[in-house]
Amino acid sequence: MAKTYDYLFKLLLIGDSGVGKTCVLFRFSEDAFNTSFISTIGIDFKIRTIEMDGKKIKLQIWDTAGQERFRTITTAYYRGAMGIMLVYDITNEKSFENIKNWIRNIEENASADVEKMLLGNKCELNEKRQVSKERGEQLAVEYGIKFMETSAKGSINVEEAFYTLARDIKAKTEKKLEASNPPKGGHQLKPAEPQRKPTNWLSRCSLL
Amino acid sequence: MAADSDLPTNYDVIVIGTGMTESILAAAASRVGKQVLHIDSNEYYGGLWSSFNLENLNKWVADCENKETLSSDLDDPNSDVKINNGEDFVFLRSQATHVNNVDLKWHIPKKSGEIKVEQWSRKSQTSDEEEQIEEVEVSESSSTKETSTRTHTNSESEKMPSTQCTQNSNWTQEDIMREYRRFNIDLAPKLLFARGSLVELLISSNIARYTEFHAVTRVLTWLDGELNVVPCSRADVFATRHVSVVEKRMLMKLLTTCMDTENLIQEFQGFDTKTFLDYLKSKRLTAHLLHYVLYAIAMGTDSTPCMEGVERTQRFLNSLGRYGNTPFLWPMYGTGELPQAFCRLCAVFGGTYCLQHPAKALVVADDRCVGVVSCGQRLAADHVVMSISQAPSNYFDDSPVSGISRAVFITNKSIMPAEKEPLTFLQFPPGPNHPNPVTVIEVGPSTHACPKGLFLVHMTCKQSKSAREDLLEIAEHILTVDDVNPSDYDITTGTQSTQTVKQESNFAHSEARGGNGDEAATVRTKPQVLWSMYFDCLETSKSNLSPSVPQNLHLCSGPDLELDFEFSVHQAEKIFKQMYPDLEFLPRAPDPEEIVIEGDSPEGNDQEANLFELVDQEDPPSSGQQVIENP
Repeated sequence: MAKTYDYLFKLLLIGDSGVGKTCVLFRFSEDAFNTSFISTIGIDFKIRTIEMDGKKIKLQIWDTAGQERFRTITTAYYRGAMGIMLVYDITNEKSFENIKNWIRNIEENASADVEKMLLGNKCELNEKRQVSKERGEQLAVEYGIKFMETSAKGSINVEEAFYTLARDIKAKTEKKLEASNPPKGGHQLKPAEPQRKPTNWLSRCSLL
Repeated sequence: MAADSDLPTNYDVIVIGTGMTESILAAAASRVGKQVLHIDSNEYYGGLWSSFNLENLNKWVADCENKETLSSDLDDPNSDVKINNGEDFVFLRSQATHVNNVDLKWHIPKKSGEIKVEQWSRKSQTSDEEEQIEEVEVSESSSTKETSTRTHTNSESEKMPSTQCTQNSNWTQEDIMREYRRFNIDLAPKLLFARGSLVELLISSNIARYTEFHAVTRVLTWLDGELNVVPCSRADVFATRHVSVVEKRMLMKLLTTCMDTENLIQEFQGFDTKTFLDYLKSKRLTAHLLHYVLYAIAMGTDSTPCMEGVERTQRFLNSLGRYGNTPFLWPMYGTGELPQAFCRLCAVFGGTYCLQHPAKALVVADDRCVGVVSCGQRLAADHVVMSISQAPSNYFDDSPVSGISRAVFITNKSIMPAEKEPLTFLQFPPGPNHPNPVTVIEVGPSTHACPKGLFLVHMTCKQSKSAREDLLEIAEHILTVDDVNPSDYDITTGTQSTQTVKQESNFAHSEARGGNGDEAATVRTKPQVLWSMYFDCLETSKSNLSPSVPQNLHLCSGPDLELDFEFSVHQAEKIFKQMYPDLEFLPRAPDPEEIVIEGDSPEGNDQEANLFELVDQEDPPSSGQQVIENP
């Protein structure tokens, strides 16, 4: 069977409540902005497949599901993540200060080699700005990660940010593949697609 | 944290505690549109179902030891919260009071002082590199098939070469603490039957997408003073050299009979009141076969009733062949992940989460719980779900409460090394000094239970004295539990290690010849215990609740003695039906692709990709991370 993608990357969005993580996610995955209904229909991640150097990359981007509000993100959220977007709101000083706490949280729970990127969101609200672009840049340099100012509402840099993160993960992944020894993961339990495909692996049942 | 978090005060359901049953209920209520508040007094998820890294485990032990001071907090009623006429406060207990006899110990020196040791550990690293190169060769061939894939980042265990030690090197406390984050040590280790209720629930609710599993690679038993592989599949039955041809036929026939549900009544006529042992004896099974079936497959004892034994045998056989060679699955990163998966679903559907948020008291009026006092707020809900461990003692009829004895060991190698990293289930039959069977689960680094080069051995049994007294003897059968003598450790490292190497290669040799490893067992040395922890906790699954429990307060048991999560799943379902008799219990959550956003059509490409992922088994979409279907 042919593959419809070459890589699948799990990405996370992390940052304080209200910085626009879900909006960033929707801007990138749906090119839409209104997200008021999200918790009522239970979306926990979005998928978008992008193309890069002739490779199809399926990005699976997970949202915090509101568990960031009281810093109760499950450790399970971080499992298997390959890239993390740290998001703050340029009009909210506190959300910027908290980035350090989020990084500590990531260090505690995520894989040590996870790719990180810092986003200053809501950059369309320049008149309400509390965090200068320079401070964002400086913090990113401090942690050795990339930085961009974005606007989910104005559709500024969102696309670029995800492409940048994906490119860095892709480079790292390919380097690892060259060195071989791909990590061995666990098994995910998945149901068969109900009606559309008949079960053809019954034979695999090795009951005595 | 608690101070600045003022919560809304009204909910459909308030869930206190993030244990397994509580978390399933939180997810189920939220899934059908109920407003859920889920709080826990701890800063972590799972309560007594949690998995900890080594540092957090130390904190947990300290908390258990300080339980007196913790519970004294509860004496002071919260002055901020007022109650009306006819209402009463019911003060809640701290969960830590359910844990006793905690006994934590290192068996190795704090650090290695001598130059000799350093030389050795360097030497050991080179041999580690060689090993790794071999691994690479093996995996390369498989990875070419898998290059067009998701490269999964469960690669934590692959890094940190600087601190990496091999199986043969001499670990010190410092070495191990340096890697504290790589441990996921379970308080309530459990396996899942491949066709058990939890697996079915995870699949039907789509919560499976938050979890990953490893199939248990082998079932062992203790027979004639040594470890034996229990034949699980047809292939195993025919490969084992412990069972003669005649016995093979007998075993096949017996197991087929147990599975033949149509003629079950006829076959077992007259055995209703007898034991499974009586039945097996009536079939004239040989001693070996009887042992395999009774103690390993049915996980029974000499007094297990016949039909219970048959049911257990069926359960074992039914789960075979779904996901691997054994009927069992083990959750990656430990069992503590599982409650969290349900919590995630609850949150996705709008549930509010608050950790470090103890509930101090309930407000009760007229047989109903009308309020929950937490962090200076009075909260209200139609239903309150709570861990039994926090309920006041007058909520129970004073029946004697049994306990569970547990032990965890960090060891330097597997109890029976194998070519590929083993994941072992072993049930010790009851013996003269231990009246209850002992369940042993051994997990290794690929499940993220521990760093490379180490293994975790979990032991569980019904409490009769203390965990240490109940389990030490069994531990001694398969592990070296004595402390490492520091002087030996430093001076004789060289000779010790060459011996070990020789043994390992012997072992590899016998494996290569197609032997089943049993021959090597005689030469093998037992794994050294580097660190051990014993504790007892209450078994609350059989508690009798008194009529004084308010109607809308639903109490959830803590970890039970059984191997699987059957009890929690059934309890959660039962409570849910009491709360919402007309609503569906955890209907399937939609996949993100199935949710069509207004004005946008989903990308056809993605849907196709998804369909493909779901049906694709031959060709796993990631390196080693297989997608498994429900046949």
